[in-house]
Amino acid sequence: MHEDREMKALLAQVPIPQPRADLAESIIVTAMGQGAQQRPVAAVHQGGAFLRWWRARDGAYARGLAVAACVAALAYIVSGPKAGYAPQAHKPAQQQLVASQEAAVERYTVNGLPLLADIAFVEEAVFEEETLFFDLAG
Amino acid sequence: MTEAADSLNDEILMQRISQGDPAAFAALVRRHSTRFYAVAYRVLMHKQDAEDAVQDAFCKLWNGKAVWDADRGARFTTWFYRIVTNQAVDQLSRSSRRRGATLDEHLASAEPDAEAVAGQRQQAEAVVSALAELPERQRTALTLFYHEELSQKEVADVMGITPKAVESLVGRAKLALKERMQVYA
Repeated sequence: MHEDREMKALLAQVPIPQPRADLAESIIVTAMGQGAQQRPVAAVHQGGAFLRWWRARDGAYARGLAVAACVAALAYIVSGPKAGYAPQAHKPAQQQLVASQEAAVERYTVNGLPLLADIAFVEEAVFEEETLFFDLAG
Repeated sequence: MTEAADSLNDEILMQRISQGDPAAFAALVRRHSTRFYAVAYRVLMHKQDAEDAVQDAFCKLWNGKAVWDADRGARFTTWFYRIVTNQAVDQLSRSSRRRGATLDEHLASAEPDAEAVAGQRQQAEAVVSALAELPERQRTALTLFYHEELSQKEVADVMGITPKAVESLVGRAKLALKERMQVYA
């Protein structure tokens, strides 16, 4: 407390020069002369916290943000094709996997031999063997 | 209308200003310009810069670039301290004057009575020199806490820092001031 009183007394020794006599009037004239008020409809309860914060920024801040946004957009545009849109590399047709039922019969390797045996063809072969055994048994 | 505006409190004047009432703005300026000039001066230690800073602060208020929210509970004066000190800090960064030169201008423009008493002048010179050498954040905290008699919480709100940081700034400022006073004494 004593220290606080000492500090106050010390600071009180700093004389403050009087401002110019017409300071208040000069402020009023300058503020009014700066053009139409750039204020929201009501300075209080106008928009949310973000809007109030945004309006409190000055023009330089808004211009800086706009410039940064333009630079970011430009960088995105000139950076070239994006992942997912690049053309797929052409795959050599060493194996052609065919989905349709008709095409499943024809499966070719590079040298023309069938890649996979047709399952239906194999089953028929087994059936034919069984028929043959019955015939032999009499 | 002018007389009616002069009798209204700050909060009501601010509401009218938000609706574009020039008489309310003029009343607020006449009521507070000298007080906030003194605050700006203690931060800037230069008369012209302090006048410019307080003028810019009031212009921001009128132009809606500084918006006061009554619902946040802060008094107008506490809120406007922040506008003025921020403007003063901006002014400081723009000003190219050396602090040494401002001291001569400061003493030359001080009241003539200060020169009449040699001992008081010497002491005042020492205090002014020591204050001018403080970092502006310490000087601002010291001014708001001791001269404007704001609480630590209010100083924290004005400067946008925590009360703990205010305590630290004020403590360091007091220490630095005492050390410099010993140098200048």
